[in-house]
Formats: sequence, structure tokens, C-alpha cells
Amino acid sequence: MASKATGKEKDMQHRKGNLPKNTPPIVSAQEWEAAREQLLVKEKSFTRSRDALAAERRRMPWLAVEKKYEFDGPKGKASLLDLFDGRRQLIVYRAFFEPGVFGWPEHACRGCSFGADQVAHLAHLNARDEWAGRCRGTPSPTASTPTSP
Amino acid sequence: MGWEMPWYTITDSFDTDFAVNEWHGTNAFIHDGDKVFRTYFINSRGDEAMGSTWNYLDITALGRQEEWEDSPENYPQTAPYKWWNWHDAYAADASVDPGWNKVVDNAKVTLNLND
Repeated sequence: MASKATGKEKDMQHRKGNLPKNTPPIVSAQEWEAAREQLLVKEKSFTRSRDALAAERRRMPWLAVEKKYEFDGPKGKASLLDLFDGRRQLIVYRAFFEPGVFGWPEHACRGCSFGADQVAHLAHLNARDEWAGRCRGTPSPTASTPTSP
Repeated sequence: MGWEMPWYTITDSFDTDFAVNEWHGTNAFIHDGDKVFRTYFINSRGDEAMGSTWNYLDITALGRQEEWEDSPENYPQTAPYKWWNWHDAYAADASVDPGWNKVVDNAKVTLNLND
């Protein structure tokens, strides 16, 4: 019967407290700590390999941006250099918030909105001389002007 | 939607040129005077992991800019933890606070930080 339950039905069962039958064993605090310590070896290894990957990213070659791009921003026209806002580095996420995208015109794409909701307070990035911005596609001339998010 | 980051509208081939014309993605850039360079690009599930300060810093050319990092020589680096501040205090309190410095130094000993 459980195998025929839809995703939504399963979700409702979980909310009512019906956990699946194949969960891990319940153990003592000592055994739990031992299990955590055992997995911690892999956790640390994962952290170190993530650091090593980031170190390789820092040695990636750079690509010169030769074209002159133009964006429409809160203060009017802006070049790619303007997007840095005086800082050393720039991070640009491309969001879909335009005609033809699910949710338009009230919303940006659900996935892009979900992503935007994850972004931490930018003061911390800015403290490392970085600036994060989002850009979106060109609104169709026939569409009503999108409200600025 | 309550988002605080600045938004810009693409007016040209920026999306096509930087591989974000059909699907989401995050590009990282650096500039040297008027010259702009693309330093990294991440998309798909890699892009989904973005959002935290650390994950963003880890895709940039300069990294977290902390002393423990394996970066090319002479890259800007400062002590970890000590550059942290309250999000509304960075500008007003640009110099390193000796009180916070002490908290970090003590924590390094007692909590095995940097691990």
C-alpha cells in the first residue's frame, strides 16, 4: 500500500508522525558519539577536499572580457565595471524574471526566487571587497514594465 | 520579495556570452583598473549550493582571503575570524577590535579553531 502512495500522500504521512519502517537503530549516547566520531573522519576529509578544490579555482586562468556590456539598473545604464560598485570582485547570478517565465509578472522563476532567498547578508561579502548582484533577461517591449525587485 | 541584492536587467548578449541564456548560473569577475576578467562560472547543482558567504568566497579568484588558505604568493590574506563583524558595523568600525581579537585568540586555544 505504501508503495502506491503518491508523493503528497507520503508527505502527509510523515507530517502525522508516520516515519518509514527502515530507519537506523536507536542507540546509547556513547554508541551515538562513537558513530559520529567515526563519520567525522569522512566529514573532515570532505572539508579538506573542498578547501583544495577552492585552491584550484584560485589558480584557474582568467578570461579578459573584451565586449562592452550595458545593463539597466536602479541608477540607469550601467557597464559591467559599474556593477562592481567600486569593489575588487563581482559575483553575478542570472535570474529569470521576464516574460515567458513561470510566475511572470508577479514573480521571478520559482527556482531563481528560491536561490535568491538563500543569499546571506551582503555586508560580509562586501567586507572582503566583493559584491554580489543578480541580473535578469530583457523584458519584452510589449510587456508591462516589471516592478523592481 | 525582500531581496537586498542589487538587480540589473540584461540588454545585450551578456547572458549568451556567459552561459546563462537558457538556465541559471553564477559568474565571478575581478577587475584591474578598467580591465574586467571572468574568473569562474558555476551552474547546475554547484550553483544551487551558493548563498552563504563562504560558498561565494570559495568560487572567487581571491578566495576567503584568510591566512590558512593555499593561495598564490602575495594574495591578500588576513587572520580568520578576526575580520568578522556585525553586518551593520563593518563601515563604522573598520579597524580590528582588540576585544574581539582576544575572544578569537582564546577560542583558538580552547576550541581548536582552524580545524
